[in-house]
Amino acid sequence: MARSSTENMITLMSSDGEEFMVTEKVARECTTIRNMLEDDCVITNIPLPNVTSDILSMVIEYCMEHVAAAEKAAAETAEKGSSSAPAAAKANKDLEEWDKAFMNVDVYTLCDLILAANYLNVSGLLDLTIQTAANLIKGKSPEQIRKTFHIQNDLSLEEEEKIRSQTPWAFEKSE
Amino acid sequence: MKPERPKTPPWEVLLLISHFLQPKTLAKASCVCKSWREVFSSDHLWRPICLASYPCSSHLLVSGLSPYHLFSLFFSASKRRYNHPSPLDLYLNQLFFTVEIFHGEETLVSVLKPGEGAVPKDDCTFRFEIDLTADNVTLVGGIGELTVGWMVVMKGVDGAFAMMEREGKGRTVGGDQTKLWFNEKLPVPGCCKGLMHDGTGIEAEMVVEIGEGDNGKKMVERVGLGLMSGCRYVALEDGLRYLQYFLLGNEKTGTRNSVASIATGWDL
Repeated sequence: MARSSTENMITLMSSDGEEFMVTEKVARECTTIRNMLEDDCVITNIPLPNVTSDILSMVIEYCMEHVAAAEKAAAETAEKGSSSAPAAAKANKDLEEWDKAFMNVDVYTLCDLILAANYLNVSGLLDLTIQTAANLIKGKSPEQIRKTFHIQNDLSLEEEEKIRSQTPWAFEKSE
Repeated sequence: MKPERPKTPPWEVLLLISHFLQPKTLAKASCVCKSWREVFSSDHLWRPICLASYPCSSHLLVSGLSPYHLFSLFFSASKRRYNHPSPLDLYLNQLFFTVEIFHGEETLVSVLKPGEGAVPKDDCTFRFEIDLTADNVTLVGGIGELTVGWMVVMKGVDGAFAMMEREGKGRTVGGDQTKLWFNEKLPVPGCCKGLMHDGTGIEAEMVVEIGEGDNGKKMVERVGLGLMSGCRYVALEDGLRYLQYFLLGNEKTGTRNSVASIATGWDL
């Protein structure tokens, strides 16, 4: 693959006006941006009115890490002729660890990341963030979920009882 | 400062998460607050879940039933098969067995034995033996004319159940004239009546063992009692649970039938 094409820089502009210079390769991790680039390849400045600077910087950080990991794997494959399974497994594990550490954020940031990943269509980040949020809900009682997500219960006692009574099996002691 | 946060994750986020959750988690999440209820119990979300789990529910869904509700109904019902049987609240020492043997109109044997006094044949099946050697029961006439009765009565006469009611036609097996077998089909608990097929119901069994006395006359030595289902003796616990249904009444209604004989000819 020609290296020059990856060196094209693109400017992403967050909703609060901050500009981020990224390589085209990193920007292409976002399917939404990739589609824009493919529609019109002279774009160099992309406004992203739905993403704030702090979230955009995180999305870029994620994309850069994953592009770097993919490049490293490709380089190793090219060097040795074929990829060695243990090395690839270790690289995968390292990336998983990185993802895990990356997800060490509060629930507000997590929700913003989900929205940004959805809007920019970064499938890896979208899966990661949604799975993280889903894990925060799994196995919890409604009260524990409220606590985790800082939610005020606006259901009346009767309303809550009514919903509970529709799915009694969900509230039985786990077998 | 950051702009003020919404109190709850936006619905787009909830919608995205919802596809990653299992029905049980979705049901719990529906109780969190109003907006979560809208998202996590929506038809849009539950229709595919309902159809994937119960493909034949498509007709019911077309008729406008809520998929959330419908899934819950199907799921509840399928879980019930794993329910534990009703707790056993009847013990052998709460029971009396009466055993009667008739020859024509004449009563040869009429004994009342406390449940714990009947000797179990083994530890695990509903099968007992009552020794009658001390009662000196002499048989006159042919053994083919014998009829038998077996009742289970609760101490304090809180309940009574007829296992066998003057059952005749005792059979011998393989020409062995020392054992006479009586069987009577028993009623199936009301809830399962439709499931009763020939041979799979529950039966009471009595074996009258006949020996020879000192004077060469035929004597009734022992009586064996048992409950059978599909040609096997039922477990002791299952036998008691069966009796409990008739003796203590349906636990759901909470009423105790004072006399619960359902057997034919003994409707009280």
